[in-house]
Amino acid sequence: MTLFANSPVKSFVVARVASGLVSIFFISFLVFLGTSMLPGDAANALLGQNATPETVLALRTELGLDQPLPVRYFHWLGNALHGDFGTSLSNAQPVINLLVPRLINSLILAFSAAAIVLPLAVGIGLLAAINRGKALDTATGSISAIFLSMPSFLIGYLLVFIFAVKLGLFPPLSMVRSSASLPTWISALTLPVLTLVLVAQAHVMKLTRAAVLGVMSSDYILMAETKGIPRNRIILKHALPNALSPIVSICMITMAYLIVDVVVIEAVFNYPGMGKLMVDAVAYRDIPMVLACGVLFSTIFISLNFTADLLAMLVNPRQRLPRKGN
Amino acid sequence: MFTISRRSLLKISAASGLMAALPGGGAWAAAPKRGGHLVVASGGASTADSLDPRTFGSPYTAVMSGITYNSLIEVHGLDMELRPGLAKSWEPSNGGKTWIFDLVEGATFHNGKAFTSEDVVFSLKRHAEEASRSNMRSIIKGVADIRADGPNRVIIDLPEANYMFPAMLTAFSLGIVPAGTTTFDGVGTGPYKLKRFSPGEVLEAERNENYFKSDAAFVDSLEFLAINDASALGSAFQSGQIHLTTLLDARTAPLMRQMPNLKIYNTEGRGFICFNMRTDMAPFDNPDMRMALKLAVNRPDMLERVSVGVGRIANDTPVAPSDPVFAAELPQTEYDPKRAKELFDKTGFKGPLVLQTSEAISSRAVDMAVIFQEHAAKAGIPIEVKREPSDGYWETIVGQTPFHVSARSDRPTADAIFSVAFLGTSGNNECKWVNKDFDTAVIAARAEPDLEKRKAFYATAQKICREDGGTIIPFFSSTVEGTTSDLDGFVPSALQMAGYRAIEQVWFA
Repeated sequence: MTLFANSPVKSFVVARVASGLVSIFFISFLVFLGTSMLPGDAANALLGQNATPETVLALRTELGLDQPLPVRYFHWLGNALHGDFGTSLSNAQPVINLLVPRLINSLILAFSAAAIVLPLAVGIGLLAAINRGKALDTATGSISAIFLSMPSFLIGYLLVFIFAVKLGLFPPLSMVRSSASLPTWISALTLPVLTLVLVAQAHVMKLTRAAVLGVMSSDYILMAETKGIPRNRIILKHALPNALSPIVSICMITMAYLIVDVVVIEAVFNYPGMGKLMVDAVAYRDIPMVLACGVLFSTIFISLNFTADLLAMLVNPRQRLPRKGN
Repeated sequence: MFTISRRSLLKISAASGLMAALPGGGAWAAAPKRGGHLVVASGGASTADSLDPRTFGSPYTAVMSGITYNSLIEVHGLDMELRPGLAKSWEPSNGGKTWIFDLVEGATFHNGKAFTSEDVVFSLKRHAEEASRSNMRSIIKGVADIRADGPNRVIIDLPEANYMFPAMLTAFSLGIVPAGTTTFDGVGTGPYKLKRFSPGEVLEAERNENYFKSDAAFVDSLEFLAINDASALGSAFQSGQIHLTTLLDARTAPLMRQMPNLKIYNTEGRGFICFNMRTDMAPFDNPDMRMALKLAVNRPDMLERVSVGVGRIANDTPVAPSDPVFAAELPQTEYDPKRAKELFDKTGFKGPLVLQTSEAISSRAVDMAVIFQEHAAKAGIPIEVKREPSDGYWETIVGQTPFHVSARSDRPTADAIFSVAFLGTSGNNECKWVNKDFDTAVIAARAEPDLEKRKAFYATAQKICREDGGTIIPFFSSTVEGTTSDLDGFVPSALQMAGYRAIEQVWFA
């Protein structure tokens, strides 16, 4: 493989990793600043209705919230660079211990959904492009539009109502234990995964179709057509490779969506993922937890974006050539 | 003989003696069976929950306390009768200023350590510490002294006589931990030993074979799920994935009642959602304005529309009809748009009253504000409902702004809720309402050993609160709870989950 030896690819990787790290650093600062600017702090939030000025003051001192903002931020940053993300302000447990099991759960859910939705939606998109204007194209287009326009929680509740409450095929709650057997896992994950598949498929499918059809209107396709090459072959051999860049991009963005943006689905199925952890952390002004979640989420987003751009570059030879003026 | 609840202490100890004499609960019901794996669920959970009883405050942590911990005294049934917990008996001396608690003997903690009076002193005193954020902090801090008298007796001195003090010790946050505990990992004296706790997700536990109560802890093991989404909780319960649950949605309860595999109960709760009027701020510093608004609520209509009639109409005092000191003779404030308008016009106030509300209290808080606006409009009182974001509502709105929605959870006695939320001297008096006659009546009631005489003081307090107070309490909330039909032994109480101890009481038929 000489692919990675190409200087544009190498410099691209170096530049993007560096800019990614800088972005994560800035994001952590913005998250810290944003959380600190919200009304009230962890002391207020934890005390709730029991708050009196003296209890708030006592708790604030105990939690170290009486120190100036920059001191707290750099103290956190120093520890974080050594891999210590601190302890949660709300229940005094190490942030990492709370975060990791839920991250794993979120990743399991996201990857299961991605493994189904990406090939399926790209495949359907291709079929729709091949059969443009025919019944199949119209049908897939309308069905995906229906799911696209329904709120995700409604899809979730409908699936629970039909498959769990009425038919009793799957559990309505997706409470999974590490000790559970594989069939239990699959049964518990079916409904949330299906919900995510229905929610996420529309974008991937529509973009695949649009990208392929976009390429189909170019001159070299017309050339291929006039040479009498069958349409299926034109699409798969000539159009698809050139349409891959946007498809890979949307797949990666969908992955990021599946990992990060599933708070609502988690609530519907009571799935112990990252979403609830982050929402609770913000509600309780648990800054170490919010920071850890923020850094983790931004790392996931940045690395998936980076992967998308890198893959787009690798699948498209033109982008690998040195650019003029660079 | 003084009285604590509706029943005398004598009767209680006789009843508990009877229970002990009849193994397995007696002949009137099927004998409890041991065994099985119980799945329990509740909302009100958070990933911020911890195992330190001092931090307990939510419905989820309340039930947690009944799994791993015990308080000195427990609450039983709809009239909130006091029953022995880790204290087998208690009595006043020194005219109600000193309370003596005799502890059960032979109880042990999950780590094998024997339970003694030192553990009680340690566990209670922790609540008054500087760093404590306990909901019992002000109560324990107000105590003059807590001391051990031998290994099985604890003496508590109060600054002034209070014959309702023992009821305070039923609080679920007052669970007893081994003396000197610094890391809280669920070691208590409770019926179940903790196996795993994942905050905001699940608690798993197995039976404590050395539990000090012989007629409790029937199921072998349990899982306590945290399910905050009411729809998810409802569908899981209907599908049989959960055996025992609290905080079901009142609006779907009628449907569940028709299902043969479920049993549904209503608790006669004492908690409420209220409209707070800051009596130190215009225009609510005018008693006419407060009365006008109290007359402008159609309580039965509000209760029907907000929670399909599940609850009890209230009379702007926090004392529920199930409370022994409830003043039944007080006239109920009824919806009277005509008189409300007269009083409102008399105040000369123009322009809308801004009522702040939020989902932070509950979704019902928002509905209640909107319905109130509609009722008041018919009386010519313009209310403008302002919906605030959940985030920060408790800190920036409740107790701060002139007119807003707030809520109070169940308290064991009239004294407890009056002391915390209505006394002029309380830091947690959200309406900043100060009425000398009211304060005098509440304080005098504490020192009165005779229930009938105490009732007279509380009648005065309730009358003043109803007429002059800054809090509009339209109704008391009830909690809807349920079990699957194969689960036996569940006794509904005025508090959730049989006074938070349902888990040790139920068994599989």
